[in-house]
Amino acid sequence: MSVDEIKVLDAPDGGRPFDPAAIETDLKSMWKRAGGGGDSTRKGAIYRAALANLVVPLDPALGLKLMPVLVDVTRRHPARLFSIGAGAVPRGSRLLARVGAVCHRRESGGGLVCSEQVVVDSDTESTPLIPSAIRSLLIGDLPTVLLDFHPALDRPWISELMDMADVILVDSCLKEPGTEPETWRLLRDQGSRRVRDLAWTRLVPWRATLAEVFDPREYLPALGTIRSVEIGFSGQGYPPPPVWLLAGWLASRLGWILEGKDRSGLILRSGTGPVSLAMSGTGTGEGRVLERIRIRSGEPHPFDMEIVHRGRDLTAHVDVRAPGTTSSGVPFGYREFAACIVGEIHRHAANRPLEDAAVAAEDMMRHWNRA
Amino acid sequence: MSARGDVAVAPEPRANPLREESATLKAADPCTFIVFGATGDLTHRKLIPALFRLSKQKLLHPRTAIVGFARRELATEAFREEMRRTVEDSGAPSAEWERFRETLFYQQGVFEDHQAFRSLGRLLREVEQKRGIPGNRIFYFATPPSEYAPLVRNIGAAGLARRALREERSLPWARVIIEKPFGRDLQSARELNALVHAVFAESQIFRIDHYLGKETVQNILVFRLGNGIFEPLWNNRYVEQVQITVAESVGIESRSGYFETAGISRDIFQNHMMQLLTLTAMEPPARFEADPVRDEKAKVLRTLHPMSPEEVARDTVRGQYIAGAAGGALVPGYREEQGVDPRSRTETYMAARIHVDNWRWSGVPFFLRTGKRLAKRATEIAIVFRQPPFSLFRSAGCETLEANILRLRIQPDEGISLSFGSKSPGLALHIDPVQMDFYYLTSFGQDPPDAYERLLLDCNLGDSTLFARRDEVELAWEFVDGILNTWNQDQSPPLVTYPAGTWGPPEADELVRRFGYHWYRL
Repeated sequence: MSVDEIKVLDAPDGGRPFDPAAIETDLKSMWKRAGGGGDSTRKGAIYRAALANLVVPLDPALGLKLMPVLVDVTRRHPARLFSIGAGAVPRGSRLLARVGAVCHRRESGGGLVCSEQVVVDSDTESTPLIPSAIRSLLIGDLPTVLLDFHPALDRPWISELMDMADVILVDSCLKEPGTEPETWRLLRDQGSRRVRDLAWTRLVPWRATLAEVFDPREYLPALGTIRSVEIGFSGQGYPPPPVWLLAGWLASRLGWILEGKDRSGLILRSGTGPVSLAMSGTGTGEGRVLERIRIRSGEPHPFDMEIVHRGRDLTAHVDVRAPGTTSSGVPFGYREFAACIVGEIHRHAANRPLEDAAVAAEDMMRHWNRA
Repeated sequence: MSARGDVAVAPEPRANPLREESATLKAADPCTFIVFGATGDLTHRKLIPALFRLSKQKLLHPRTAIVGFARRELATEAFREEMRRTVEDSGAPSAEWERFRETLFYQQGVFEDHQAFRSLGRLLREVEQKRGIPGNRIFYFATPPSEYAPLVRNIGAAGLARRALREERSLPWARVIIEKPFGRDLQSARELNALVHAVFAESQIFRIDHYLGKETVQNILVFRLGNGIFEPLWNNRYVEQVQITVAESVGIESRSGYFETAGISRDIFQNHMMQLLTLTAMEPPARFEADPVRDEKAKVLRTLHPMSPEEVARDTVRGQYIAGAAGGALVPGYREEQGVDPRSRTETYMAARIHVDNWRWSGVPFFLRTGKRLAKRATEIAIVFRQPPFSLFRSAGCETLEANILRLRIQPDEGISLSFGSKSPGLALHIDPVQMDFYYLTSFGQDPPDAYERLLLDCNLGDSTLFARRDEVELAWEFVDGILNTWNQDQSPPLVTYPAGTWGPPEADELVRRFGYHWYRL
């Protein structure tokens, strides 16, 4: 998105002590001023649009990085955006708030489409007040989506925000390594209709590509005789959540049972024999992003293939080494983070494959950690 | 589980267990779009911009190629430059264009010249080899209908398309997209179908009516069948009448040659309006897939009450615009338009009362109207509900209540509104109609995508739900032919006139007034 596409209508720095009536008045006067013209950056009408309340507790350290993502989310799915900076203001400030709007030009021309933004900042002592402040400003007849980007562990105020949300989007990739099961337990307890993990959403093109490799009739039986799976990720260290979820997905879809661990990785058992699962960093690159998966199957359906994808490439490379040798580039539906978020907001059904994968992933992680 | 030696063998799966959740993530196959009429208006205005936007959204396979074919002498580089101008008009960033331009190729040729198709075949093989396309092809006829026959014959003769016998994943596929109007009457539509079927199987034929690609048209079914509260009311017990309007504010622009032979009946009524009618009146399909949906649409067309000559004279109106003021400017009448016969009897307006003879709609009139140079551009379906069975508020002085009207706005201001009566504030009891409104723009923050984007992608994916099937086209012609034959043979009803910039001839108002109704304002 170019800078030209984003217009912030009115977002003064600082803020005033939180007062819901004053905030609503500020919003009304902002729209009144916007409608009255006088802004040279605007051409044509201004449309105020909202499909949801989007509540986003932001870690101050991540705020700058994630704000462009949130702007892109509101472009794709207009909302009243609540960005919450817990502990973002000095002690004694209590709760502060300010209003603004994030706008983009209509693709067809003819004005701006805007999402309201309410910024709520608190000092450390006032974080318990945040849920009640947000509650007083939610648009009643629109669904509330909580984007939980805050990594804090002791978070009763976030639990309270969760209680008021219709949809909770969590990104287990933003959690401390090893604490991902918290997300998956939340998903298990509340169901995937309400709770979604964005780490899973990032796996969509990987799952689609893997499924496509096994679509041909001659390769399909090899799914039943898989003997080894190697999953590689950029960087090094503990496998990141997408790796666990991909492994959990394969295990749950193919009915593998976890048996234990050896030096090379985890040992599972399929209906036809043992399956070894190795997960390792490539040692290069950053971000601990999934980069490759190699699957080998044994007799009577020998098969050996590898999928490699890097960064934001729109193509993944699929090498089939047995039977025969083929190498091809296949379209890889890489999606921007905002597109992943909006895709999950649009999902209204429970996601059984994710639920099953999360259970399997948590189980695998527990075995892995035992060593 | 069985054992083979010391290796346990699981039963071989019939379906891919990894596919379960990925069914909706189908990716477009790499293919070549071959656009006949590549230098024409449709290609410039719609096709290339739509393909470019699909490419920008990464919805086309990265190896996709587009080969233009037209009469004009043009090198591929010149073709790319010409297409760049059409795309840049719609605000294209140049980096994305640079990637897209590499997908464009051009072959000069005359549609009747079979040698040109051999040259096209050579270019296609070359492009496919260079870009790694496995031979999948989409032929797009962006030409006048008179060119369809030589195109089909020469595609067949040059062996450019493989006829599909059954679903074979491993073999390359070929599909053809044919623009409306598909034929000019029932007989010519049947002849054209027979001709196209000589080269392509029905599963390969995508008869495009861009109205079906409009988000708002697709939303008719979602609105009706995806919400629990509307479908129970969608029948003759609750619906009093239905009005479908496709109004255009423009005249015939540069299309006099085509329009003189087609008229509004063939240009809009037989296709767009019949599609809107079927989507409004159809029964819920068993599944939201191509054939179940099209089966139900065809059933509606089969239940249309065929009009006798007397009914045509009474229940249809045909008009032609004369000079008037439209949109604040004086405009000429139809007969004064460039390229139009000064004594032309071509209709530019048509209205009709139609009956859908089935259990659901028995007794409910469907009023359809369409015209050129009307007061404004608007397409809308208005479902008018019956009055409450008892006038509770008559004693309080509220003699008449406005009917509840559900308006499905197809264009512009895409959205849906429902009008209902509400007590006006004050001490007296006054009931005024008020509206609940849904606008795509203010709800979703974006305008619906262009219809051609959706339809081109669907064809690439092999999904023909939003394309007309052979029986639909022929059934629509069968019904419309009944009207046109009476118009031509009996000259009844007479061709009437209406000033440009109005809502049509007074006879159309009379058509609905006879039943105690009026056309709803747009």
